[in-house]
Amino acid sequence: MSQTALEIRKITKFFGDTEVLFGIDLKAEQGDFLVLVGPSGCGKSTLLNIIAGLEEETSGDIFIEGRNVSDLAPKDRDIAMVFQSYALYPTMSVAGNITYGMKVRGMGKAERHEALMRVAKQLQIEQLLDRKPSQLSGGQRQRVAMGRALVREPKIFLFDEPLSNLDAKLRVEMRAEIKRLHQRLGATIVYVTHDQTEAMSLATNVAVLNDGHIAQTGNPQELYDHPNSVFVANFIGSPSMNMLCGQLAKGENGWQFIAGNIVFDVEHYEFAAPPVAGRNVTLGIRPEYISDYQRSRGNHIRQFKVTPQLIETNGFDQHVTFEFCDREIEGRFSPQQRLKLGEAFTADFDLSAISLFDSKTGDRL
Amino acid sequence: MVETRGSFKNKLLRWLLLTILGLFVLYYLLPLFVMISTSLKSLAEIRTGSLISLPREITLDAWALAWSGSCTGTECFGMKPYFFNSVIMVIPAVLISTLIGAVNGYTLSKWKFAGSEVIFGLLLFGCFIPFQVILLPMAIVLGKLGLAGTIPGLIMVHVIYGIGFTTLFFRNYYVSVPTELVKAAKIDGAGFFQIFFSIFLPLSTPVFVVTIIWQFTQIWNDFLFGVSFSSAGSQPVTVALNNIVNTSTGVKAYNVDMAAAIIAALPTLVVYVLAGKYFVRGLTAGSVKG
Ligand SMILES: Nc1ncnc2c1ncn2[C@@H]1O[C@H](COP(=O)(O)OP(=O)(O)OP(=O)(O)O)[C@@H](O)[C@H]1O
Ligand SMILES: [Mg+2]
Repeated sequence: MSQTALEIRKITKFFGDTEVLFGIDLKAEQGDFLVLVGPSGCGKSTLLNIIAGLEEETSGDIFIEGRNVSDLAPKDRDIAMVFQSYALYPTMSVAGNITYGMKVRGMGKAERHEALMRVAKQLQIEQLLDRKPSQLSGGQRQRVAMGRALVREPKIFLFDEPLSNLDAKLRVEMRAEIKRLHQRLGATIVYVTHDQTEAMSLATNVAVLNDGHIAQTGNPQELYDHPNSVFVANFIGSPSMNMLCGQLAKGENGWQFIAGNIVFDVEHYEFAAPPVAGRNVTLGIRPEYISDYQRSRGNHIRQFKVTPQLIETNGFDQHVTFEFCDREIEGRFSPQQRLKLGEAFTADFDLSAISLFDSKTGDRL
Repeated sequence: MVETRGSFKNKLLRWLLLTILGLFVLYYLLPLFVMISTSLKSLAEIRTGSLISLPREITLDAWALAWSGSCTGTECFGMKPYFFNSVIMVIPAVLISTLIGAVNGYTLSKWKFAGSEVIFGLLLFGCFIPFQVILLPMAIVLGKLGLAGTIPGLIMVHVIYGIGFTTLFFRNYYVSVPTELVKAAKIDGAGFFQIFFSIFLPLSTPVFVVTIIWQFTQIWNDFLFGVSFSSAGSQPVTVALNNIVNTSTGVKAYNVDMAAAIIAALPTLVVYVLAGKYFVRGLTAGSVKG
């Protein structure tokens, strides 16, 4: 039985006269870790709340394991949710928080206790059960909030930016923990974040949202390698993709990208639609493909003399910013290179993994 | 050197401040002092002594009279029956208006619906309607309901008039409680009242204290509603006090009047002394920590 765990069909949402979701279609299979990612205000939380039944969609349907749940109350949808602010019941102990739902549903005391202990052990919060939420650290509250969701054993877990209140170190730790939890339980998870790093590292599947539209869905690597718009290309990846503006032209041995006096052969590029000569296009190239390492054995390497304007190091890479083709471009170079500000050196541009976009629409070519 | 001069200046300012505050305290306490000392004097002593002198001979006769012997109009039972009228009026009126305010505040802050802001606006407006405006319509309503001149009628008036304030208090308190708590509880399967009782009520102690003190003081001290909507047997203590003071049987018994006034004011004083610190704390209590 591998039924689609969650299917979202043509969901729209209006707040008054403002439309915030424009016909969203999405699917998550059993065991998927689907991350909804997008800039602030793009409608991620609204979509998640609609899946949970906490907010009513204007039109469209939600299916959970094949059943239309659009008209069901949140408690009947077999979901659990973890909130950004944790939303722990302040006057109840940790144990009370975790067992509240079971109590409301009239589950017996022994059964409740058993479930509580199982989850507490899983999350290693056994020693915290008698504490009040105000006596917990941020990370501990986060765990308790997850415990409250885990104990339900729902069909789908919903997370709304659960890590954004934690400091950087804890966030990375909890991220790994959520990932392990997902692998161990094989649960279906829908996870909202505006942090693309979080999205990339957690997801089996990412849906990028932009202004109430789905910009692209796919696994993280696909999105990284083949962004289908300038928006996705800019949003995914940090530092973001370098963009050069130019034109397409037909050369002797295939298509060329021309920007001023720079000509790139792009005959190896797989165009989605037949290219048109003279079209204004944007060429995207990720910083790690402007480098001194050999990324690919492809024979699409071009060398240019560039002059560093800014050098940042993180120990294993030097991030170098320089001007190229009237743009600020960033590349990554090994720390062995002795680079100096204002001193020109040779950089390899590996064109094997470029992206081309229509300059006007921003769509991938 | 500089430091000592600085601290000398500070000390001086401090003393000045304390002196001014002390004068204010005296100024405010003087009436109470006069009332207490007068209530403990005999009539003869009042006639001969000065207003602010201490009693030469302490006597509780005036208190006894005020409590159970003084006359209001033609009846001479003292304040006692009216005091209990007030008690049985105030307790239900405070509890009912506070509870309704709590549910209202919870609804208007966490279960918003189309028009909920308008309703809140109207309730707020209700807080600022002067008592006098509603006297006549209220009298008609009470008459129609058959509650005119009864204690339940008075309770109803105070509940209705108080709901605006109590709703305001609770709504403003609950606005600072994260709405995600309600969402989490909904997913856990709890309903409207279950969420109210198991999650919101337990964290409402400060606002309950504030509201109860406020309502108690308002209702206990009310005179206008009391005098307008009560009959001979159902008058609250404030009305009785007025009648005792205004009933003239030859000589004005200042000592009895003073004792009666203190009796009428005592419950609110006690409430402030016992719960005053919660009142201040409740007023300043900000958000609820998650
Ligand atoms: N109750 C509401 N009434 C009116 N507009 C709303 C309401 N809730 C959300 N919106 C609007 O809908 C849009 C989407 O909001 P949403 O909370 O889903 O964004 P988000 O993607 O979760 O953003 P963030 O990353 O900041 O949490 C925003 O423009 C917001 O202003
Ligand atoms: Mg959000």
